[in-house]
Amino acid sequence: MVASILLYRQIGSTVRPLLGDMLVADRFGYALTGLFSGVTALAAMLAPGHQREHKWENGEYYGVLLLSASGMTMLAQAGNLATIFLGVETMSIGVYVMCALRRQSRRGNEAAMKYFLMGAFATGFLLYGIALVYGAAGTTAFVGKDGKTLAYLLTESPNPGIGVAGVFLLVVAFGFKIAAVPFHMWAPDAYEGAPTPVTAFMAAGVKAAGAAAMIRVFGHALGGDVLPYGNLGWASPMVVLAGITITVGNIAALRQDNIKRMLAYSSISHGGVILVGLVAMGLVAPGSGSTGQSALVYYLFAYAITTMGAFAVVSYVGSRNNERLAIDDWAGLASKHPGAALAMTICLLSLGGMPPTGGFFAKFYVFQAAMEAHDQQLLWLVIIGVVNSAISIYYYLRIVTAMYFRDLSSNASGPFAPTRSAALVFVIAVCPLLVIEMGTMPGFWLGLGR
Amino acid sequence: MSFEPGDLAYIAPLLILALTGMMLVLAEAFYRGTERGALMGLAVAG
Repeated sequence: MVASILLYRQIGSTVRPLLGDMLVADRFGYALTGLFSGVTALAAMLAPGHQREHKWENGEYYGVLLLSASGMTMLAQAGNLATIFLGVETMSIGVYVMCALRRQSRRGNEAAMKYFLMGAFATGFLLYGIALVYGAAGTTAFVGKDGKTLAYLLTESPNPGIGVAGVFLLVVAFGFKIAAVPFHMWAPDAYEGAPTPVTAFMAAGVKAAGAAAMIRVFGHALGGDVLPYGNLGWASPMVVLAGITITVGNIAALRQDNIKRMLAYSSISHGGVILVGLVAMGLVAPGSGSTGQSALVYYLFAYAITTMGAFAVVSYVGSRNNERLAIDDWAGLASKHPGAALAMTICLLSLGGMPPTGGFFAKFYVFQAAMEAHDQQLLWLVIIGVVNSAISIYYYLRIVTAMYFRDLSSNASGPFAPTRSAALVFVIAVCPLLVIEMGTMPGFWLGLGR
Repeated sequence: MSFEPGDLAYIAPLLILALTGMMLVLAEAFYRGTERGALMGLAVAG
């Protein structure tokens, strides 16, 4: 993280290609590598207490976690579709392994197998997409030798049909990675079955890294005024995906009684909002003063920190032999552990987009960027997004109501015996503070993506 | 494709995470105790 901060300050507004055109050094990349390093550190801090309490003391977790994070940084700095593929695989293989680290857990093994199989399908789509784009454009670099972006090269291609198919397969592949509907089937089972620190890392880090890769591919390489709509357009299917993802994720979350599954569906819905920002960013020509990129970076920071905080509390509340994942198991938490209840409340309000939290400004800035694109389809998406934000408050407040307004005596799981870990308590304290700080002083965070 | 050694400085975050990850996997391979909490410090430092 220190290296990312130093390089962010040093690189300024210049964009420097690295290792040929495989990677790119710019502010956007370093802002996100800083985020991924931070999320990785927080995920490492969640583990010792959870491992001790739930008896999965595998030291491999920490090494694999860092290797997976290195794949995320590769995605944030990618300048070529080949690097995107390498980054996605480096990140994903580590996460498949981490999902299955609780070897005695049948749910954990099922989660890992489902995630692996769906991830393998996504990899197939990604590779086919890259191959077809290469066939049409003659390169996999985001910017060709003559300075033209991949979008221009595809539109000038003698075989535009191949380019259309390639771009469509890329949309599908990334849809799997950020669990966009209808490619989301793996997410609730994988989130529920994986150990909670791994779930936190998946929900916060992997999703943000997938979004970073999409920003690089669709925002930078395929964005601008040439490609998004029209015969070769990726924005039209992405708009549909975004609308369905926000709505289905929210409606499914309404029906969940398991907190991890509810947060999984909430995360799917948030993936839809990320797609809204992505379309808004991709529709505007690079360098024309679009607020889409800075809004998306702010959103990724707010979402990742909030999600880490929420899963940290889930990890804290669960104890040996009882993970307390049902909402009813949280009844009366505020009377016994007011700090944990407050932290969870702040994180849930932020996920719901309530002021004065980071989650509020995150959605506000993304929807503002969408409005500024002056596009009819995006206007409808903003309306869908705002309505769904209001709906989401209902299921987030179900947990708050259980914690504050229900008596401990109504809790069938009995008294709380939370996981004792100084590092875990640190994460529970820091994340809500950052969420409030992002909501009260958003300027610094908003500037990170410019 | 060209390689400039100076480029490595610009991918320091990636290299640090990857190298620390490999060191942690090696450390785990040779570690004989049962308590793994100490590895958390190394991971956070990475």
